[in-house]
Amino acid sequence: MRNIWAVTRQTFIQCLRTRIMVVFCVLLVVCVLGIGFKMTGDGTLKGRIQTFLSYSISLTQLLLCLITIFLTTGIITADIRHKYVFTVVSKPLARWQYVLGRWCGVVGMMGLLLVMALGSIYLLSQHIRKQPTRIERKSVSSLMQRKKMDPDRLGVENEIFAARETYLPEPPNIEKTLQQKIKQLIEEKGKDNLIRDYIKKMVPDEAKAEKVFDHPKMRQKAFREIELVLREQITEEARQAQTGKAIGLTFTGLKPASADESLLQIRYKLNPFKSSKTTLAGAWQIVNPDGPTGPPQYRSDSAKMTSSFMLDPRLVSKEGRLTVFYINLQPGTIVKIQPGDVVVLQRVGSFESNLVRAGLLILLRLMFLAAVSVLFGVFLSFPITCLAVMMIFTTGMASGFIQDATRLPKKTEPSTFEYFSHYLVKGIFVAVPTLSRTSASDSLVDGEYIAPKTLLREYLVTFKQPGTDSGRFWQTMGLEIQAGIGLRTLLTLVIGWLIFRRRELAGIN
Amino acid sequence: MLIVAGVALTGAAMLSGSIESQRVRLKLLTVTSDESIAKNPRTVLLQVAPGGLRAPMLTYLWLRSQQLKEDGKFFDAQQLRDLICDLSPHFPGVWSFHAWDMAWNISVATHTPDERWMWVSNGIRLLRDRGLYYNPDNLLLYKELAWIYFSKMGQYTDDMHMVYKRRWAGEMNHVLGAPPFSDTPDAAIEAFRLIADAPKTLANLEKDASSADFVKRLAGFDVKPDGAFLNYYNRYSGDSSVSPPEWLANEPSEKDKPIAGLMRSVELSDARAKVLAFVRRKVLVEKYRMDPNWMLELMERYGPMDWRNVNSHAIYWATLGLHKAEGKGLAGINALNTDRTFLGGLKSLTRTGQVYCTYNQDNPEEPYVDFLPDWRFVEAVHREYLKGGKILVRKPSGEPGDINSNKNVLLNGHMTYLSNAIQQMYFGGHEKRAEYYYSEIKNTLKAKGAIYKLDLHAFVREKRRQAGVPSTEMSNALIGGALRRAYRALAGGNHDGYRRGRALARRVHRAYYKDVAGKARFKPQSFRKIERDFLIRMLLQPRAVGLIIPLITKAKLYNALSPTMQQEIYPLIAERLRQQCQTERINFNKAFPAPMSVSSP
Repeated sequence: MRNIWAVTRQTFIQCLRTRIMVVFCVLLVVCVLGIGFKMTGDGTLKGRIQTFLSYSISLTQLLLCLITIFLTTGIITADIRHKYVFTVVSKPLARWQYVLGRWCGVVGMMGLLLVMALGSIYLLSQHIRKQPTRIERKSVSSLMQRKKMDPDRLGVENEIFAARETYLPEPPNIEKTLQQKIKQLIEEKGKDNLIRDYIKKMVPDEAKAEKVFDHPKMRQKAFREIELVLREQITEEARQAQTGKAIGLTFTGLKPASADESLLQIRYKLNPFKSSKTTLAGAWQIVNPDGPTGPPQYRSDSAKMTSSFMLDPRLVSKEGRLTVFYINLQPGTIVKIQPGDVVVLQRVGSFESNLVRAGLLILLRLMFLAAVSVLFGVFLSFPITCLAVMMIFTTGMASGFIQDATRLPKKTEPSTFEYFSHYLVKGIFVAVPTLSRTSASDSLVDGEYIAPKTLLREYLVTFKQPGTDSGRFWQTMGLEIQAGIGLRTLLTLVIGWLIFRRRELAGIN
Repeated sequence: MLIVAGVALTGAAMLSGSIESQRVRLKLLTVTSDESIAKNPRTVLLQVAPGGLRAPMLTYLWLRSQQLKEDGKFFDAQQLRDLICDLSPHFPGVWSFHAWDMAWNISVATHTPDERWMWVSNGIRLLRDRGLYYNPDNLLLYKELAWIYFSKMGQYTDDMHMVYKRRWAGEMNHVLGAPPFSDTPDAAIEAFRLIADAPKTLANLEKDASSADFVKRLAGFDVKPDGAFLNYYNRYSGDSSVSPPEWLANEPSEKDKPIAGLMRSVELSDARAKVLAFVRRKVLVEKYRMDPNWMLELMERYGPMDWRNVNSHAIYWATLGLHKAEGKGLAGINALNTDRTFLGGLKSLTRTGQVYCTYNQDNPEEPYVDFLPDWRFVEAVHREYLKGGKILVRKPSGEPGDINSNKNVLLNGHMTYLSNAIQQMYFGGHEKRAEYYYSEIKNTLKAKGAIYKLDLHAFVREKRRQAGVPSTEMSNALIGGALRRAYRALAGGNHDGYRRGRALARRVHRAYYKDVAGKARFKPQSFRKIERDFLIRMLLQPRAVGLIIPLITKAKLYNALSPTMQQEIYPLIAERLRQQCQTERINFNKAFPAPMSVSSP
């Protein structure tokens, strides 16, 4: 441990002495201050703070990532190129201790810089928060009354300086309708005919269809499939509202209202079904069986664009339930709400704690990049290492875009090139982590809670049900496991150490 | 390799001259480098610094801007769009797309009047202040700008169209005030001529000794002859065209008393008027990027445009675009080469050309605004229709054709327009004008059908019967006409006539209100408010409602009103009527006694 600490301390001091560090630090200060005082966003106070947070955190992350890459690569490759490493490895110091010490030194330095940068961002954001909104600037007699209703101030306090958990609605309860529908179909056609018709539809050859029908297990399977098709159909119908009809959504697990509760927010996206309507008229009605029922919110929203509105927290029942109805008032248009298109956001923590967790997410990326730099640095030269790590960094950051762009088309038969690019990208992302999966800046800008489980997922491992995009292996296993960035960092360091251990540092001529 | 590099460099150097001259010839170089660096160093830097990364940067920014828009996150929308435009400033399509995106798409995704107006005005500013600076000859940008004024702000498709109209009227009222009203366009044009002819620079203004002295006095209060002067002028001058009656009664604070004195001084009125005209010109040119001379030309050609009306601006930008891009003068511009904007704007002016702003204490930026038909534009529209029709029917040899032939696709629109205008003029008390245009329909346009054989009164009655529930503008005209008859009767002591006229106005209002129930954007104001505003106009600007009323008749009318109505209108009319009484040496307190408080015993 003493050995590692010695290398770590040495690396830390070495980092402080490098010119590149000074350049990046100056750049960081200039950028954060520049953004804080120069950027005005959309003209509202909320927009100004959101723009500041978005740009300053993204830029901090980018600059720290670049310093990490250049510093780690520079230190490791310089050690080998200039043979400084001889003075270290000739000491009673294991090679893994050297690798780990170097890595810890750089990460420690970056951690310190990150704390300083996030601290400055926090202080500046608090300074901007104290600025008056447009309404507060107006000298009107009813200022206090207006302040309470000022949407800009409400947005600042409830949407940014908060950590809000996102709640999805419960899936629609369709069991009763499903059973009724099945009963009705059986009564109309008879169970056997129902199954026969279904098999005929699936197997056009009549003789073969009869053979399948004769098999009791196949009949059972076909009936289960009929049930599945009906279930999907009824679920789809439950997500649609014709003009004048409503879609009911229930959210559970919310915190019941207390006296000084922040406002809730409903965020939603409406999709016109088989219609080109760009604006949709509708109303939202919130029902609380325990207390006051809110007045309907009549709204006109842009189709396929996210909208939101604030809600009185007292509308949540004592059991933590919130029942919401969307009423479609757009003549001649069916409105569809896809799963995940409506969410409720409720404050569960403070902005400060969220900022700390955001910092941990950023630090994780820096740790990974430092590890990759170590891995390549122990056997490649400085420019090649930089290039390789930058490639991994940019690929990881653009992972969402790349994966979306190479997704196999669902409506048409994929071409050879599409198959090739899809599986190539899949292969790449087995090794390269998706660095853009949880964005620290997006979470802070939207006041979205970064849950401890998200951190665990990012640091360690994720277990999830395999989806349609998952490979056959995971589908067979019934559980998909994804290694987090932290685990990959550890693995990268181990590989780096293994390579370094086998490396002959002093060649014999 | 060195030789190849040398040859390539020499080739590039030889080509650069001809490329530069082509840029100038094709008007790609609209702003000189020095000017651009001085005014917009950021734009120049952004064009040069990214080098080969400019295209990927643009792609990324464009994707991000659209993604954020779909996610309903607009905090960064304007800055991203500014950046995209700065990266490609000479590409008009980029400016046009982003202005349209902000004014039409982002605005409707927001739900408060402030946000809506912010995005619409952001779209306008992006085109007007920046896009046109780099592309001053590009017709597309003028067209897009005119379309925002005409369709987005001037029409009724947006739920909050009244917010845009009111905010714009408020802004322009602050700059130009209300134009003087007269039956002929002359008074408004002459009032605007002062602004168009005002000195272009401060140095020129100061050549006039009285103006220089006034500017010096202003400097004593640390006020420059710019927007700051307008703030004080509007607040303290007592100029009824800009100051709401509520402000006239307010005493200035101790600090503001000296400058308020300067704004009210009778001795300095000439100098103040010159400085005012200079400042108004300056604000129009520098803030709104408008050319007062072109505005004046438009007014002389088409009528006394009220610049508080968004349709006037639609016409301004549509015609200026043709002038700049194709070198056309107003004589060469016609309804056929400006899409619908120009003719549509003019037609809208005949329906909504008279603008009345009332101060809104809760939100001074958004005054209450009433729009009434303005018959002074009917002739301009009629003329433009005829002009367009003549072009359409012209023979290939250049000889004139028959304007009533099938080739004139504007003919039906022309007749519908005139029929509606006739009804509005008829109800607005301009029967002679209505008679004239009715004869134009019959004689010039040779309208066929039994209805055109009727006399004017029967024609109007029949048209009303056929149309059923009136449109927004027509109901305004009908309500205004009925109220006009009612209060004229009341002023003459005819209480029966008053009751009949008022009942008709109420009926029209009720029918229209019922017809537009559920359509918030068409919802009219309450009848009480319409009636109150009408009365105020009748007492302060009777010509605007087609009447000439002596002061003594105004007093009779005021005293015949119900106490509650008196109480509602008194604070808004008292100061102006007091001034009129002083001029005519009438005892104001006897002629217009203050109403007793309804709630007091």
